[in-house]
Amino acid sequence: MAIGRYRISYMGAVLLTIVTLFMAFQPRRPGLNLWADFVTGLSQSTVVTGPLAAGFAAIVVSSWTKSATPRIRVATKSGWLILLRALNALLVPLLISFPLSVFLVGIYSYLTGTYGAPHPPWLLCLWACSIGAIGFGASLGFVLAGRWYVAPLASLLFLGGHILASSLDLKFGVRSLFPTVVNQDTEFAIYFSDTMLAQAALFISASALMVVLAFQSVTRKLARSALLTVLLLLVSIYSGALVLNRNGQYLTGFNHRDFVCSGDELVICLNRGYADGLHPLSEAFTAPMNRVDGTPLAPALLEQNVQGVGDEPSQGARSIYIESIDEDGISLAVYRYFETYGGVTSCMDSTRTTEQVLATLIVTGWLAGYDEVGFSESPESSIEWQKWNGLHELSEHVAIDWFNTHYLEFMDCTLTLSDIP
Amino acid sequence: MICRLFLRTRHIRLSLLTIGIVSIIVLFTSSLSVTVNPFSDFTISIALILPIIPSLLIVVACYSPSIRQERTSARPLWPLLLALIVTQSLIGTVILSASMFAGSYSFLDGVDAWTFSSAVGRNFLALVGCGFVSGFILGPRLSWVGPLGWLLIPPYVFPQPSDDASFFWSLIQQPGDCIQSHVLGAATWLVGLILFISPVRRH
Repeated sequence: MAIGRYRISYMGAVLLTIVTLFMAFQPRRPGLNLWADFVTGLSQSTVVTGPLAAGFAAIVVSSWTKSATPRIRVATKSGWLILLRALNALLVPLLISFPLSVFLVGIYSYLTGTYGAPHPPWLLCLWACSIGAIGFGASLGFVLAGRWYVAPLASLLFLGGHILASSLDLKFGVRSLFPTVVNQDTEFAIYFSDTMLAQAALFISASALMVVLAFQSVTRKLARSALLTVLLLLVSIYSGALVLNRNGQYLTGFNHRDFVCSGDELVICLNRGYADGLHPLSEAFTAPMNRVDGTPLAPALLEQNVQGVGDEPSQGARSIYIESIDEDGISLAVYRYFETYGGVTSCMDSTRTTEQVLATLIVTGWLAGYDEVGFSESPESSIEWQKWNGLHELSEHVAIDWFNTHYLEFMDCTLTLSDIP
Repeated sequence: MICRLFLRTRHIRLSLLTIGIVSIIVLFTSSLSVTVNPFSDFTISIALILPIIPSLLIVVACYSPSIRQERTSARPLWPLLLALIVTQSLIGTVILSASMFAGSYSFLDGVDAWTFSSAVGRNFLALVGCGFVSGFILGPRLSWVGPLGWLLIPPYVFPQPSDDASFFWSLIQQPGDCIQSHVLGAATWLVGLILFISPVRRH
């Protein structure tokens, strides 16, 4: 078979692979090399590759049916056989572009020692998403064979479906019935494989159903494939019901506690994929440890945790939440520690005034050595700028003495701005 | 006679009809926003996305099905093509911007009416230009790929559109409050137009 005749299919496959790879590398966080980030990127890529794949499939099938449909009708061979051979030649390049991308990401991750592993049902589900988009485009290509607008129409319809599915006020389970996955993978998770497998079955059977129905509407051979149609319909309905029943939920938070620990005075335990952060994190904690030395705020053992997921650290340990291992991510992790275990939690009390909250935030920022709120950028005449700078202009031991005398007020969020020197 | 045939093969009636329908949709959805990237809190006004529909249609329609015969014909068609694209672009920009302007006065009390209506027109022009650039690079049958990529990929690469290096790439999401975005949008349109009517265009 000459490649020239199917050039669009191969070009489309190459474009899809490039886009998928590009998107797969986007959510990678500085300093971290995790499979979870790759899977997040691959999941997000379905939003971009879906409309493109639908358009490619539409253009490919449309240009094929234009010339071949009359021949199929009078062919002595089975129409189905011809269809299958044609689909094979036309759509297989598009269909394998996603596995090819995953394979290339796999080679990269093998060479660079990426931590973790992708969850196979999730990858299958993502592939099914691209099959769904291709099936949609192909069936539109059958129905509107040879029309000049078929490719942009297919991609715009798919895009419109995605925007509706993600923007309308729908339950998550209903949203999951559309073949674009935007879930975020995380290292701290248990997976629900049955949801993903049901979703994969739904997308594959629904796209096959669309192609079969479109082919039938073109060739008017209804009776022969009635059994296949009913079968595909049943699979679609059953797997769709499974997804709805699960409300589309894929994963739930879980800390594997695959820890690597280091340090003597302050022991920090991070999950294996984050181990590169141990050294910068303990360095970032040196100065703040000095400031809170002797108070209960000084940590002895820190364990990595996932904020919001609710896994508790072990007895005597405290949580540290780390987002990335660049300078910003480490400083933010230190700040979050003082925010979680310092006075800021007491500020949730409705009896605290704005001034007290402001004072507590200024001290928290000073302790962590990180200006999260942006006090230093507020106008110089403002009180928070003066207090922020006043605290920082003190010599270190004077400031520590001041903090020790005001420790209880700080922890209670009853510190006022006039208390700060 | 040639002119009428030319306009018919470029589907001018459908293109103009689409511009009209989309501007009516823009009018009634001018207050709505959607998320393209569900992981960022940044929402983009739906009126900034909608111009992709008429722009893709115009670009795809401009590539004639009998392009080989036209290239070897005695009469050069590029003045006609130029006139057609400029007319359609101007009509589209004016109508889409005007309906966004009217929409923001009917549903948003005219807050930032100029900013958003000019951004809608800019997006339409920029996407038309991007379609021709894409058609030049990828071939006429894949001219629709470029505008779709430009619309869909930047929200994931730059979750918050800002004035830094991401400025050009996230142009479609930017509000029209600064003049550079309009200059860039118009420049994209011009580049696309020049590439499309240039004699070296690939088929």
